[in-house]
Amino acid sequence: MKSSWLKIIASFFAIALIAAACGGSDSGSSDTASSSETATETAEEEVIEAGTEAEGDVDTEVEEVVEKSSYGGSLTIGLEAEATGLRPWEDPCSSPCLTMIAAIYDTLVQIRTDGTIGPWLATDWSANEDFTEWTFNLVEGVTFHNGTPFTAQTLVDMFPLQQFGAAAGGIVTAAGLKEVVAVDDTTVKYVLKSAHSAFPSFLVQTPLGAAFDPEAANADFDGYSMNPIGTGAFMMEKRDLDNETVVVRNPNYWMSDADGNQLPYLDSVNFRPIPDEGTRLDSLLSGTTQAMQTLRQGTIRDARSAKEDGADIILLEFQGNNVGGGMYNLNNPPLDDVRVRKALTQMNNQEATIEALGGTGISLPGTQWFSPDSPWYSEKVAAAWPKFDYEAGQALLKEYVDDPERSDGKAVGEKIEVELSCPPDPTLIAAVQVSEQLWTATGMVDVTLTNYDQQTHIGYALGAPPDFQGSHGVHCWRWSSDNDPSTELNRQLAPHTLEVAAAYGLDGIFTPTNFFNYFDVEVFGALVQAISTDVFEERYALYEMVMMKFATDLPVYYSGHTATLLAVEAGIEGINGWVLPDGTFGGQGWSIPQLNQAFLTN
Amino acid sequence: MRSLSRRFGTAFLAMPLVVKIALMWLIFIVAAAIYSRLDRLFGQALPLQDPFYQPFLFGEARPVEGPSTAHYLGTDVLSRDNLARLLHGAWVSLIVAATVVSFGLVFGGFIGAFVGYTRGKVETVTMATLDVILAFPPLVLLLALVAVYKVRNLTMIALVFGVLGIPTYVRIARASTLGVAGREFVQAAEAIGTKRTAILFREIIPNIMPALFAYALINAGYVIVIEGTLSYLGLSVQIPEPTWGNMINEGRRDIRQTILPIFWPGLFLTLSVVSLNLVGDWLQQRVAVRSSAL
Amino acid sequence: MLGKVLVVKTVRLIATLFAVSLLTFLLVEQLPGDPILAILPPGGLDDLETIERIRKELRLDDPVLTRYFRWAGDALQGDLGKSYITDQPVSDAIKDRIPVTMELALLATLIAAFLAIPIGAISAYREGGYFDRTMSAFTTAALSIPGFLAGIFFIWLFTLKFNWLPSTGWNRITDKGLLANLQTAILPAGALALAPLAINARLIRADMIGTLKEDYILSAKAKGLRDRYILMRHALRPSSLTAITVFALQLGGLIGGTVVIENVFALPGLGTRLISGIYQRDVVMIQGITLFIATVYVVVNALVDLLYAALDPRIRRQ
Repeated sequence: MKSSWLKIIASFFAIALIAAACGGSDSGSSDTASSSETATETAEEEVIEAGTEAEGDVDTEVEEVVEKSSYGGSLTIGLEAEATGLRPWEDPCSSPCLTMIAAIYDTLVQIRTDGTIGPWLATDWSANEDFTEWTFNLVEGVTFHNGTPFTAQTLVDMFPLQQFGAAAGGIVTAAGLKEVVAVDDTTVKYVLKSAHSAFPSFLVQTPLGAAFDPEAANADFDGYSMNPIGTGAFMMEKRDLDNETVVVRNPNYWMSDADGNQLPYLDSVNFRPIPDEGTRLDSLLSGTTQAMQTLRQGTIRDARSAKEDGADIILLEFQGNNVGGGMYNLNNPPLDDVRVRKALTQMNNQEATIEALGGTGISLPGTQWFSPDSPWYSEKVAAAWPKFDYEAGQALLKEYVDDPERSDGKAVGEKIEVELSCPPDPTLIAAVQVSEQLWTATGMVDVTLTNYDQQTHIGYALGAPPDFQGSHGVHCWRWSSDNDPSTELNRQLAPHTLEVAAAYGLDGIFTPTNFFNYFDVEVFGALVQAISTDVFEERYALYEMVMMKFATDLPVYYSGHTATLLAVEAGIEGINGWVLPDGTFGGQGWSIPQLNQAFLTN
Repeated sequence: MRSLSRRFGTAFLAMPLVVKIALMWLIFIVAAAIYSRLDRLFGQALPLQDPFYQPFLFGEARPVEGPSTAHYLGTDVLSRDNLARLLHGAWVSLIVAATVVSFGLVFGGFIGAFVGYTRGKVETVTMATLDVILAFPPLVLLLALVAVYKVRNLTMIALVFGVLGIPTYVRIARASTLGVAGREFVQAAEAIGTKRTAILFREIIPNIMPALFAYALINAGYVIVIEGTLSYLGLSVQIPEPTWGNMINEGRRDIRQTILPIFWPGLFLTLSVVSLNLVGDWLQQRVAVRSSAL
Repeated sequence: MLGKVLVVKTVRLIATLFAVSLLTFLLVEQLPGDPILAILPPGGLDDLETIERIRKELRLDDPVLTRYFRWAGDALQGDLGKSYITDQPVSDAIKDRIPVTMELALLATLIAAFLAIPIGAISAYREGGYFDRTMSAFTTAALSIPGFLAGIFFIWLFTLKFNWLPSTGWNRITDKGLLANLQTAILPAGALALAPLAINARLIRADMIGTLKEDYILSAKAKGLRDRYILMRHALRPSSLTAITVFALQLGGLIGGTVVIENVFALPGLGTRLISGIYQRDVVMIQGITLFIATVYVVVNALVDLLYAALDPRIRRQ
């Protein structure tokens, strides 16, 4: 019974093959990501773009002067939270844990600042004609912290763990990855079930892309979290949960800087989880830590004002390619009616929400999954997204409330009932109280707020087997990353029930992760087409079309893009990005300190 | 009726000044809590600001956070009126404390008096069962219960607190009963063949009540602290309903800029607990004096 | 006589522990919702093969009682299962964190004891005086202020305003030495010590007022002994029995009290882990830590009970 669902999900990826054939993609096998023309700017210039600094500050000059890198020193970094675990394939990871993982592990490829994919452990790669087989050439002579050599066979042996990995399993499924084959010691081939023109994007993600020692992982699966072994610049020295994690320089690290100096420069890094935002900033200002990260606008505001007051710190701000907001469950009346969704969206004062979070002028209001810095951003979508218009929203809602045919079965004039649910994160708690207040003030909406822990929150959106119909109403959510849009969009917009699939002649295609329960055959067609071509313009047009559909059908509403900050003491360089082996510039964004090439100037 | 108010009057006059002030603070909090809800009960607007209203959402200017004539105690991080929220928050504390106290006095008092007077196996089993609940540190048990079962509405929270509060009252009621049961008047009643139920209700329970009531006041303070702690951790009544604890939690975000959003609810919380302790202590002393004089 | 008391108390202790463990197990086990949701991140939820495998591995489909006895049996051998979220064994988590929680509780007890003795003694000696009245106001306030509020206030005052002490992190004695350790421990321990300090000071005061009126003190005074000498040698000694039992009794309560203080100061103790377990819905972790704290609480209370019985002749006679 249950395994049949797996087949259904698998067949969802089969559609890609069919659609690819229909779409008649004839582009060659050259990969957008690896083409070297895309990166012509110099690393120094890129540094500035990678971290947009606070207005009117003078540190830009510091970045322009190419500081001479030097060895030695150690850093203490204040993180938002303790990492759940440090097994890339198994532990769900957010920015604090990614920071540590990035110091300990290397991924096969890295994302560049322009969104393309650049080399790291893999030097170059190519796909076959129909994007179902991807071959990667690996750097030679890389060893793990325990001395085990890293080869193509390592990746092959990692695969079974990843397939069943709690973090990687979903990505393996999403990528349609069937098999990993070692062609020779330094050549590996990834075989997919169906075409995916942006497959390397999945290898940027640490669950699938980070190299770990499969033998050690099999020997002590649970213990690997406390004693992670990677090929990365730093090795685990001490892991004292909820207190500090110390990593030290890997003397045998494979990578060197442009002048041939072996990396990394720093002797050791100490990570301290400091959950309280004010305390974390204070630790930086008082010198207890030398760097900190935050995803909260209020903290960014406080850091800016501390700097204005003379604190000797450098603020590296990022407008994360990620948008927060909520989704509407289209199965849950009255949210099935687009008038209600549009009304609620129009009445949601984005600017005020951002202000309430303390972030006026820090976060940008969202209109789509991509931030204005993203290559996928569309002005057309931004213009089409419904603006804040309280009266118009009220009028539209009134129309629904007075409609004798209203879908929630209530009497004409009766209030609509809406459940607004968010995990109990302090920022979100402030945000939902803004939406609640705006909607309630119409006198036509009865809003119930709920907060459940992350797991329960997701559980409500997911629903239970076999039909996976979530019981949520309006549900806080975040979308997108700096990665390729296909990595997220495609899995969330396939048919949400078998009946829907059958109605469109897509028999057997079904995904439980269509949390909106929103299906549009055009959208789905576009998404399938987008992973069967690697021509950027073509793909851009397709994703733009999907986002335009969102602006009219409104399965979601947006608050703001996630502004993030990496604040460091003056005298720390190279922490906000990486120079890739090919000389281009990259980094994971998200204010994740990049320690591999960081150094102290004093 | 008249004699009752006169008795109360004499008792009030006999109080030391601090206890008088404490009592008045408690009366103020109870009145404020009820007043804050009259709105919702009768649907008429009272001269108290809306605790949920965030002016900047509707195009109005964002008020400054410090005290002003428009907002006597200033506003919180979402520009809501602190005073209105404090008074609304008092309701949650009041309901939870009142539930625990009434459950404790009614159920705890009865069970304790009953097992203390009848003794025997029932007593052993009851006390052993209650010991299991008392074996958990109260906060830890509540945390586990409330978190695991996702209890978020005031009625349920109050019920959970109320039920878990009973065992201590049983213990105290039983201990007092053991003392009272040996007294002459009880023995006299038994000697003249009064029914045991009648003795329980007419002799025992009225005599253990003063001690139990004095404990109840101190216990109410403790309950308010525990509820505040749960609220602070975001595990009590659902937002946007203001509670003193969740106001402190929300205020912590801007602690670098101002302590006021934490200071006010902290002050209300502490003053209320201080007052309950003062009145409770005073009552306890009087009870002790009276029973020693008997 | 004492032996029989010991046997009865031990039997009762074991019965209580059994009941406590059953209650802890049922409390969490009867949760609505599927624990699988806690084990897998959202990305893994469409992987039904993995879901099935984990279900089998954890034997989630066995009857409740079977699972209880398996769990309790493992617990007796020190195995409390492993976290659904991090795969860390619960017993490891407890072992790592118990030093922090214990140190906080002990340090708070020490602070409470050392400050309470002089406060109580001087208040008693000058009963009704200026010091006595000030201290009475102080103890009333200290007894009433919630621990988490005191903690936040300390952070605001000592860290944000004066910048005297760090408000984050925990320096382990074994790594960084006692002084560095105390720097990180003193604020949370201080916040934790307020309530027991107030109770102790009051008890000692009341006890000493009684003692000071005893004949032998009066005769010592008549002999012209110095006040301080009388206070230390004659009056304090009989009072210390009460004090010791009270301190020991408070230790149990403090283990519960550290939960929220650790959270306020983000210290790597048991309480922080319990609360993060609650936020993450880490069922096994909540179960394990709750059981552990309850067990310590029960055992400490039983020991204090015994100690009291052994020390106080009046109770022994009953």
